[in-house]
Amino acid sequence: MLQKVPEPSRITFFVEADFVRRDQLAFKTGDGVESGQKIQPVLGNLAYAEASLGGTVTSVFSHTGNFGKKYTGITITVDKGKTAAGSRFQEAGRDITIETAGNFLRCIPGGLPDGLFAFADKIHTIVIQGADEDVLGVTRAYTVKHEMAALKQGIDVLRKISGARQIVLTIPGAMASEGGTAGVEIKTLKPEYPAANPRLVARDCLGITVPAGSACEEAGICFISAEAVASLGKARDTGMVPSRKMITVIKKSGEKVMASAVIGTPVGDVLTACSEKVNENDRIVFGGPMTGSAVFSESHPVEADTDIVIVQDAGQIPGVADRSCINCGDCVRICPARVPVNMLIRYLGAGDYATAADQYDLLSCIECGLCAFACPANIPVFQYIKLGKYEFARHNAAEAEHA
Amino acid sequence: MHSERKLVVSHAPFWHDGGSIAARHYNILLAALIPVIAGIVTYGVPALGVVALAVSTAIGWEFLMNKITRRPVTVGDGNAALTGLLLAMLLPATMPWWVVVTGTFLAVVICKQIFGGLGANPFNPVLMGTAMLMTGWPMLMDFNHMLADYVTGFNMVDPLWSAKYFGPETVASFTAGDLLLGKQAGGIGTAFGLGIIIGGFYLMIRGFIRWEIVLSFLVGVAVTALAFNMKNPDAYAGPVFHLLAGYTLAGAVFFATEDSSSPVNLTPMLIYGVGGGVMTVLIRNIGVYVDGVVFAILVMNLINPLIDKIRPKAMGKVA
Repeated sequence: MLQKVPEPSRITFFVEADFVRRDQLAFKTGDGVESGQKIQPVLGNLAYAEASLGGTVTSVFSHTGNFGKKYTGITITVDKGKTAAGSRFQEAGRDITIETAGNFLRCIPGGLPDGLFAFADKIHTIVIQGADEDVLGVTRAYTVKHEMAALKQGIDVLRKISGARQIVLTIPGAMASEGGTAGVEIKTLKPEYPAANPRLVARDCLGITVPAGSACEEAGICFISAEAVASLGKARDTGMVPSRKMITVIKKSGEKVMASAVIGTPVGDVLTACSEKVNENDRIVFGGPMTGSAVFSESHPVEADTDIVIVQDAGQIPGVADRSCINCGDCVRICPARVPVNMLIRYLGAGDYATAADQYDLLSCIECGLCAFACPANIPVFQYIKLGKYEFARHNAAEAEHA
Repeated sequence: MHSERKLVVSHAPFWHDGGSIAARHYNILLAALIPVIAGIVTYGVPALGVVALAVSTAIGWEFLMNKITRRPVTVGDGNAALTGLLLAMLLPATMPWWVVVTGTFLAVVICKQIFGGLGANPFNPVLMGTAMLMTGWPMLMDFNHMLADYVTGFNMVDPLWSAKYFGPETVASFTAGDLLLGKQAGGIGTAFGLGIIIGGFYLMIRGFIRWEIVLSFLVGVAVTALAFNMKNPDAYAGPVFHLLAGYTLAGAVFFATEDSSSPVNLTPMLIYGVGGGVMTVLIRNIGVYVDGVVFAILVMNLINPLIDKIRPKAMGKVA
């Protein structure tokens, strides 16, 4: 069943750009925005969002995400009158090039990865992911099943704009027949988590092991969600940037609802439309139960890459503990990347990130979260690993800068 | 505008498989109770006294150390109770109370808490405590001496002692069935082999202990005993006897598998298990101690950090 979430009265966008002073902003409260307009909120920074609806800017604010990532948020009060004055994308014509895609289509539903543009000359293989990376999600599989025509169009666009020699579509094993009509090479994935993890797909389906610590794009493989490819197809077809995002909503009861919401819609609106009630001390997770991130407000908007939204009741939330590792080895045996988690966690706990990376394979972690899922001591292993990677990178960057 | 309810924010994963340290320890405790109850049935009230005293004092020492070191009270995770029970398993039923209390003090305080508590101990605390008792008061750990007054209806002699000093033909009366059913003089919870095997299968199937260690330990014992037996059957008992007599089964299931002091990678687990098994029979057959399990596993604990470095290359690791 598809739940169409009505157009919201307010939309918010987070653009990955930090602003320090107000006079760096290209927008201020009261400015008018037309639907389809490209919003580049910080002067001199090319990061942008595309207004999915028109209206009036009601606030521009600084937002800090996980691990200190800086964003500029912009909230627009929707005014139905300010619709489609035509975006520059339309003027650029239907012949999409890599430049127009980079300029206008990065924020299409599903989201185009930065690596597609940053490593454009290196990419030899594009993997269209028709299987969701996290458990419970069916957003991408839904696209493969219901939007094959748009997906084919998108594959056509991709073929033209990228230099990739090989285009592959990965689908869950059970959907082999649905994928067959896409006209590209099909790889079916095992029905077990984390088979759809990009690095595992690269190894198991393409026979390429991406070196630890480098992006898949550096190894020539670019992963794009099936929904983004279908959106590319729709963009070429209509000349408009599509604005509705498909989301797998998982209610507290475990019931799954497919919802379609305008990008920028507050998650609270999505949940209301799905008749799910959020109470004090519940948890809302963007992304799946294994790798997603919790948000602290029901105003948090649906973003281009929000595939799954989960609501957990306060009573269902498992805790974490400040205990030491008992060396049971459950994490080591469950780790698909063969990381010695039991040793790694000792160095991460002590803040010795350099040793963790050099000797205990911190950078080999593919971030599936299974170690913390299985840890009987309830140690937040995955959080330690993410923090370790972040601190290690920050330290290296600082050293490079002062070298 | 949505009402701003306070939501819980934390890090992924947002699911957990439900396992816990306490569940682990209580399950091992449950499995260990099978042979221990058999021991209590055989030896009566004195055995019950030793078990009760060991468990309660182990919990007491842990609580005291938690308080003294101003750390969270960890008695609830079941490890102290398990340490007490496992120590009692290895002791003769008539052990004086002060030795039991000393034993749990050595195990919990000296061999675990001083190193930083659960997970930080380099050696199996119970075996370390037992080794200290064995070297400190060898007479009190001698089953022939301690259980001399018992009339149980079976040959009340420590089979390993008899086989070591008087040759395997002196223990010919111990059939494999007798040994499995606990008809041998020994520790409170180490004689009833069948019970240990049942408990061991339960723990291996549930994943609370690592089957690789258990099996490789037993293989190590069997192969070495077989080699000695084939070389000189008059002087050395066969593999079945060594597998079922003394601490072997208890060592394989409850002691070699202790989390903190045993390896977690496949090859190291096999090396560790086989090494422990080989060492056990070497000590029994050509060493000075009657039973080698305690020292064999402690020696393997010692090399555990080194052998556990043998591990598969992580994915994507260059060089």
